[in-house]
Amino acid sequence: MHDRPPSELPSSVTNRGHREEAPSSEPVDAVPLAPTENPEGSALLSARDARLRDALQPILQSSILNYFESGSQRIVDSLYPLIGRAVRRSVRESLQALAQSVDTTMRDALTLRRWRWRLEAKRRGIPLAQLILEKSLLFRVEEVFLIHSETGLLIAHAGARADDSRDLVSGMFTAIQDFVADSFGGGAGKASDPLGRFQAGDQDVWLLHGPHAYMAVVISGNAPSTYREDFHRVLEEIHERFGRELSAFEGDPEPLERVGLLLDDCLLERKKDVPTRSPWLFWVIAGVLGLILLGFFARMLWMRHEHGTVRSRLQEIPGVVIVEESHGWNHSTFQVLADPGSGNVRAALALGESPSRVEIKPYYSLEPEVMANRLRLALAQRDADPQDALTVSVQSDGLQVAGKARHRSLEEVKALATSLNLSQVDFSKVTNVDQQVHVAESVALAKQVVRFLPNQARVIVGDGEQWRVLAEGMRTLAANSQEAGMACSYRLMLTRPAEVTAGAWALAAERFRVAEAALMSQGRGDAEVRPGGWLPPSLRARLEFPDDLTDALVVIPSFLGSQNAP
Amino acid sequence: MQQRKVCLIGSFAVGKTSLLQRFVFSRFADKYLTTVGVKIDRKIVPTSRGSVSLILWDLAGEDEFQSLQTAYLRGSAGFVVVIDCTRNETMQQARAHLEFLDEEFPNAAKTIFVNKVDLENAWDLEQQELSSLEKLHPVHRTSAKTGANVEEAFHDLAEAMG
Ligand SMILES: Nc1nc2c(ncn2[C@@H]2O[C@H](COP(=O)(O)OP(=O)(O)OP(=O)(O)O)[C@@H](O)[C@H]2O)c(=O)[nH]1
Ligand SMILES: [Mg+2]
Repeated sequence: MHDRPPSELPSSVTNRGHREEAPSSEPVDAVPLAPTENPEGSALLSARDARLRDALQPILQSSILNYFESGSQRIVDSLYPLIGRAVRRSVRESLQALAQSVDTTMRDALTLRRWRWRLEAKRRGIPLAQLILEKSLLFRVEEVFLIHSETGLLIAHAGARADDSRDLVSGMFTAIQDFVADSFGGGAGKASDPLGRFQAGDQDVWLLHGPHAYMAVVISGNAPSTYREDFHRVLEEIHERFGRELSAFEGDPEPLERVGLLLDDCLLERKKDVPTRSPWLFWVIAGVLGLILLGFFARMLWMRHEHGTVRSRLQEIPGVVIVEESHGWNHSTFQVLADPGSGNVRAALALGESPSRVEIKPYYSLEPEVMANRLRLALAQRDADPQDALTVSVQSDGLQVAGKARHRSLEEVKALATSLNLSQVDFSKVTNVDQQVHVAESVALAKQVVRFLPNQARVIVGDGEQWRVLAEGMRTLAANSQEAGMACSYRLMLTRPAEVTAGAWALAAERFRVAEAALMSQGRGDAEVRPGGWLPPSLRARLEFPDDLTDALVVIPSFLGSQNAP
Repeated sequence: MQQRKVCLIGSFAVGKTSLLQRFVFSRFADKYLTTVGVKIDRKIVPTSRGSVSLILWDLAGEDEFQSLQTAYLRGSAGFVVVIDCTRNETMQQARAHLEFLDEEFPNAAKTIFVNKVDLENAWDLEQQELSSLEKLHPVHRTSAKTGANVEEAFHDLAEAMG
């Protein structure tokens, strides 16, 4: 323990004592204890009170001073944490005032980082300037020693260093201070400001002194001296919490083991504010990646949407079956089967700029509506005759084609249906235009009868001219039907006699021979002509022959549908 | 582990540094390099109370230019006062040191090392004087050169420091 020589305090006590030895030289009331601004008030004091005060004052003063004198160090030691705090507060306040003035001059600067700092300063409740000061200095606290002031023995250590050299370093730190105190201070026994800081190589050693122990903080780089305050706070806390152990310390660090935890708090560090370049790059890369990802997802979504659109369009087209489909961020494909009846699928899809690819393979659908479409399309595509007018409809038992058509067209359409794999098509409702014409012509022809003389094979007078008319009619009809693609043949028939006898048969045969020869000679054409026996009543009725018509020969074209008649 | 500060004091060239070199590193050099200021070493020694880490302060010896640097002594739990047995005046200085120490550090353990005992032929100490010192403090006859008694002497001190 340092026993300091008496300071000025005792001398002032002596002075006071001297004064008090001659109280008569000054009036009692002049002793400046009562509030001087209020002299009237002092007059109110009773004389007894004043005397008591005068008697006590010197005793109190000297005893208080004596107390301070004898135990000054102890008092200082016990007040240390309190005083330190108070001093630091006032220092901090003045520092803050300074910092704030710097702060205002810098306030206008506007950079991203400054904004960040501004936020941090606000959060930490410190002036911006102080933060900037802190941020622009780089340092690292390498080690912290807590060393017993008296012996130089190490109490606790934080940081990386081999065990045994810690002790030596602690001793040397102490020796250095002893040397400085001895060489530059007022000499042994005289208090002087302790060494606060020195440099060793490129490291700074900060020394922070407490009553029992001091802290040596080894720092590389440039630590802002504001941190001194922080270290001081730790040292104060150590003294506050371990004061008794510290004052009893004789070389056994065991009771002070937990001090190390507090020292660890001092291992501060501030690395280069890496953000300068790499975060910029980082953000750019991250941004680009993000954009790519975003683009990727956007494209994926768009592709999905496109795919969906095409799919719903495909599903709307009858006769189209989606066999396979897939889509990703960069593709959308369909494999579909399309019935010819689906028409031009590609045109219906109107893909345009769409990224979807549709691969179409043909097939025949069994769906009636599609089948009907297939036929309709085929009908629409053929070059039809102007007289053709066909419609396709779906019936319960299959397709039905109705309307009218030239004979040739009808034949073609039937073949077409077969080729389109349409087997169940009903054409019965189609009117064969050609057939109709030919039937009318046939009726007209059949009405040109040639009458024979009764029981003879000779034509009655006046009907000889009929052979020429008949032959011409036969020629024309045959030519017309050939042109329409229809076969044409003729039957020669005779009105039935009242009694069909053997003689009647023979006469009929004779008459057919005559007719064939006559028609041939008149140039009837190449169509087949065969004798066809008796005119059946149905045909006779159809031709509206009068009942009295007998012995007449009728040319029945095959269009009248009586070919089967014997 | 317990730690104790120990200061080695004595006149120049009595062998303080050599004794520590022997004790801590088990080596010896004939070459004399005077110590400037202070040099600190450390050695752990077993005692009856467990191991003790001795923090050994090797102080510069006293000569006509340099008196004992008392600034370094504070907080010492033990003192080794070294005497060169070939130079009687070193014993005179040792006596003065011990008187000072007894006054300033009454509670510290003190021990006297009479060093360089390998140089028996050159023995120069007045026996009477030595005997009177022996009555006050333990005396060990050591040789940093041969290593004789060095270890034991320090162990005795470690034990004495308690
Ligand atoms: N023969 C012999 N020589 C010794 C012994 N101890 C030290 N010496 C020698 O004495 C000389 C001085 O030794 P140091 O150990 O440097 O002495 P010191 O007390 O440290 O001297 P300062 O540092 O100047 O005070 C050196 O040349 C050593 O070799 C010893 O036990 N025997
Ligand atoms: Mg030496």
